[in-house]
Amino acid sequence: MMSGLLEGFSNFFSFNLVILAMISVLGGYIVGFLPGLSATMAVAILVPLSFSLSAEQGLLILAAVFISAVQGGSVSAILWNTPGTPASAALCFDGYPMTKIGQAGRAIGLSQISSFIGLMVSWLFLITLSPVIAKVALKFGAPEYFSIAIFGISVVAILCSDSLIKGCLSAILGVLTATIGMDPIDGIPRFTMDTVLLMGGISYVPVLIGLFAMSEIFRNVAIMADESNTMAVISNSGKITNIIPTFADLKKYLPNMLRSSLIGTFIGALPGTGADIAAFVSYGEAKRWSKDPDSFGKGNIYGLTAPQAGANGVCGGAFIPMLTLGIPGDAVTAIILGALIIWGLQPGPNLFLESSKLVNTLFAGFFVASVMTLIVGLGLANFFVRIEKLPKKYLLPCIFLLCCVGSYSIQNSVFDVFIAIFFGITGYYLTNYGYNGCPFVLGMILGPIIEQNLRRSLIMSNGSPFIFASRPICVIFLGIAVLSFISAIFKQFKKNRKAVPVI
Amino acid sequence: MLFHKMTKDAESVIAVCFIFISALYFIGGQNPLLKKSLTGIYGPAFYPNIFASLLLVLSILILVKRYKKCSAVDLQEQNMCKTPKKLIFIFCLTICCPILMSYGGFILMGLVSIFIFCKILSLSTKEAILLSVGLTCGVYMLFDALLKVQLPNGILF
Repeated sequence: MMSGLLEGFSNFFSFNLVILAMISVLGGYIVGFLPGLSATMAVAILVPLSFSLSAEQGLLILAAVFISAVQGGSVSAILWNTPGTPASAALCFDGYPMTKIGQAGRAIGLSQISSFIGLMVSWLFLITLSPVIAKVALKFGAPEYFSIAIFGISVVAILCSDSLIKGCLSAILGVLTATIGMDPIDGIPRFTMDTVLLMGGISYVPVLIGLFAMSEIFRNVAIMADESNTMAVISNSGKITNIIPTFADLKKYLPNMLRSSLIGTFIGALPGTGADIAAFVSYGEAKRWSKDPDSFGKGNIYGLTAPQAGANGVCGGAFIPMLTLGIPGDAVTAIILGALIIWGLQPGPNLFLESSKLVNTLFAGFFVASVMTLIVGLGLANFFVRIEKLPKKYLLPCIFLLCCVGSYSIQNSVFDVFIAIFFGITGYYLTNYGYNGCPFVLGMILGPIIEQNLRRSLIMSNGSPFIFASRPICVIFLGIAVLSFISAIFKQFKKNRKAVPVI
Repeated sequence: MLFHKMTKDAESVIAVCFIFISALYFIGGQNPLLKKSLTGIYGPAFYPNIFASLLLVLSILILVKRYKKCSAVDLQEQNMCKTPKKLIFIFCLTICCPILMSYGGFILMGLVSIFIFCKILSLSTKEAILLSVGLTCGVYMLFDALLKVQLPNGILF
C-alpha cells in the first residue's frame, strides 16, 4: 500500500497537476462559498471540460473541486447565515451566533481545521479500506453486483427525499431514462422512437448539467424575480481576525472533530447519502454527547465543528464504494462515476488492477488538495469576504453559457444541449414539488448495472430468481435493502399518524 | 368538481404525467423484437416493464392520496406554483439557444443569448454588451484555443 501511495505522490508532483489542483481548489472554494452554487453543480459543469485532459488530471480536478466546495460553503454560513452549500446549513446554527458575538475569525478557523480533520480521517479510510474491499469484490459475480446495486438504489430512495414515494419515483424515472438506447445484453434498440439521436442512449452529462446546474440557474432567476423575497444582506464586511485556532481550542475540540469525521466517513460510504445528511447527523450526535446541550444554537463551538467535520468526512467516504464497487456514495461521486465511464474506465475492483496508477494518483491528489484547501481557507478568508459582494446577475449568464458549451462538447451534439435544457426545466419544476434530483441520477447510473447483472444472473440460473437466495452476499444486501424500505415505510406511516389532520 | 380541483393540483398533474410515461414504456415494450431475447429467457422489454409497472403503481398511489386530500380539504389556494415572467423568458431563451447554435454557431449564440439573458435580468445595455462580448470571447479562448474542445460551428457562419 505504501509503495503505491508513494508512487501516487511522485505522479502527482508534476507541474501540471499541482497547478491544476491549485486552480481547482480555489475555484471550488469560491463556488462553495457563493450561496446557490453547489459542489454538485460545479462538478457537473466541470465534467465536460475535464474530458480534454487525461483521466488522471480530470479526476483530480473533479475531486479537488468536490473537497474545496464542501469546505467553502462554511464561510458564508458563518459570516452571513447563508449556507453556501446544503451541507453547510447546519453551520448556521452555531457559526452565525459566534459571528454576532464578534468571534467570526475563531469560528472560521475552527471550521477549516475541522474540515481538514474530516478529510484526513476519510482519506485514511479511503486508502486503507478501498484496496481491501476491491480485493473481496473481485470474487463477486453478477448476482452480487445486482444485490449491491439494489442496496444502493434502496438507500437513495429512502434518504434523498422527504417523501418515500417521491424518492422512489425519482429513482424509477432515472432507471427508465437509462433504458433508452441499445439493450445491453441483446443489442436491440429500445424506446428510441426510430431516431438515430437516441440510439446511443441519453448521456449522463447533459442530464446532470440540466438537473443540477440549469435548474439551479432557473431557481436563482425565480428568486431574483420574486420581488417579495428580500434577501437580507447582513453587513459584515470588516476585516476578520484571529483565524488561526489556538492550541487550547484544538486540544479541546479534537475528540468531537474525530467523532464527527468518523460519522461523516461512514455516512459517505453508504450509497446514496451525502454531506448534508452527515452534517446534520454529526450535529445531532455532538448535541447528544454534550454536557450543555441547551447552548447549541447559541454559538456552541461543538455545534460548529461537528457538522463541518462530518460534511467533509463524506468526501473520502463517498469515494470508497465508487472506486471499489462502482456504486456512487453521493450525487457528486455519481457524476464522477459517469465521467470515469466516459473516459473508458470501469469503476469497480478491476480499476485497482488495471489503473492502479490512476487510483494512487487520486489518493495522493486527495491528500494534497485537502492541505491546499486548508491553506486557502485559513489564508484567504478576508479575500472571500469581498467576492461575496459579486452580484449573482453577473454569475448566472456565465454559468448558463458554460452549461450550453459543456453539454455540447461531450459528443459535439446540439441534441445534448436540448437534453440539458429539458432536464433543467423538468428538474426545476420537480424539485419545487419535492422530487429530488439525486435519486434520479443514481437511478440512471445504477439502472444499467442492475439490468445487466439481473439478466446475466437469470441467464446463469436458467431464469430462476432463487439464485439470489443461494448466495450469502446477495441475501445480506437484498435483506438490508428490504429492511431499509420497510423501516422507511414504517417511519412514514408513524409520521402520517402523528400529523394533525387538516379538516 | 373534485376532478376540476385535481386538474389544478400540481402533484396530481405530475402523477398523471408519470402514468402517461409508464404507458409509453408499456406500448414501446410491445414491440415483438423486445419481447424475445436472443440469449436468455427474458427479452429487452422485461426490465423496463418492471420499472414502468412500479412507476404506474406509485403514481396511482400519489393520485389516491391527493384525491383523499382534495375531497377532505377545501383547497382554496391550489399548490400550482406560479412561474415568474422573467423565468418564462429565460425558458424561451434557453430553448432558442440550441437552434441559434446550429445556425449561427457558438459566437453568435453566445453574443445574442448572453445579451438577452442580461437584459432579462435587468442589467443595463452597457453591462449586457460588455458581459456578452467578454464571456463569449473568454469561453471561446478557454475551450477552443486553450483546451482544444470543439465548439459548435453554425450552418450560416
